[in-house]
Amino acid sequence: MAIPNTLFLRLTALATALAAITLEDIQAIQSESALGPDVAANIQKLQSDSAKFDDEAIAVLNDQATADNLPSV
Amino acid sequence: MKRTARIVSLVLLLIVCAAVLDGCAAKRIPNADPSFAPPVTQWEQINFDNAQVAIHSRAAAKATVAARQTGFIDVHQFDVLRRGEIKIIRAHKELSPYLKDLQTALANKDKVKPLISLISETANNLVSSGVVGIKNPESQSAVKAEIIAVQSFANGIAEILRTQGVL
Repeated sequence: MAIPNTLFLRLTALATALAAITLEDIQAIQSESALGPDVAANIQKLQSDSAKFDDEAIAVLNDQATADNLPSV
Repeated sequence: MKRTARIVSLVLLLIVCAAVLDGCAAKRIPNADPSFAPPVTQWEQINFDNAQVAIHSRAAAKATVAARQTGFIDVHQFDVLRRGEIKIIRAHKELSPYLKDLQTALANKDKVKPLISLISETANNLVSSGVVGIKNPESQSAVKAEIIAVQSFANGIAEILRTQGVL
């Protein structure tokens, strides 16, 4: 993504991104905290979602690294 | 502009703190019989806290990338932060399967402790470094709050594991 060229646009883009991240955090926490009656199924879901969030985090960082021509880690 | 930036960063920090506090405890949703809602087990709570580590790591990663994409962090500083965050995420990916039940955690107790320490220490280093070179206060507060949340939930997991005799 090209860096916006004025401070106002940069701050607006940043504020929008941070608000979206906060909202995503809240939705994920609410979804994960609502446990059903089956303990084993709850733990399995939490394990699987946890792995999915970790994979997404690594992908987000490495996608940006690729855009910046940084080596994979 | 500086005052507005401070206010915005304070609001963001408060929202993340509220999300963290609200999300400290998992809650059982009653089934067809609302009077039957057994308490959340220790292992559900551990796995919920463990999912929170991943949720906040993902948010820290996205906030770091947002800082990079809006030009508030240079390539070198992004790389330093990325390496620290990936170190935490990889340790967490390795830790998670050991936390699926007490037997698995006990059988792998020699691996669990160093992984939790690695997450906590790396998070601490990133926070005490002032979240390496992020120039914008909102962005710096957002990344910092998420990394503090990661560390806090990792420490919470360690506390419960101590009561279970794993640590």
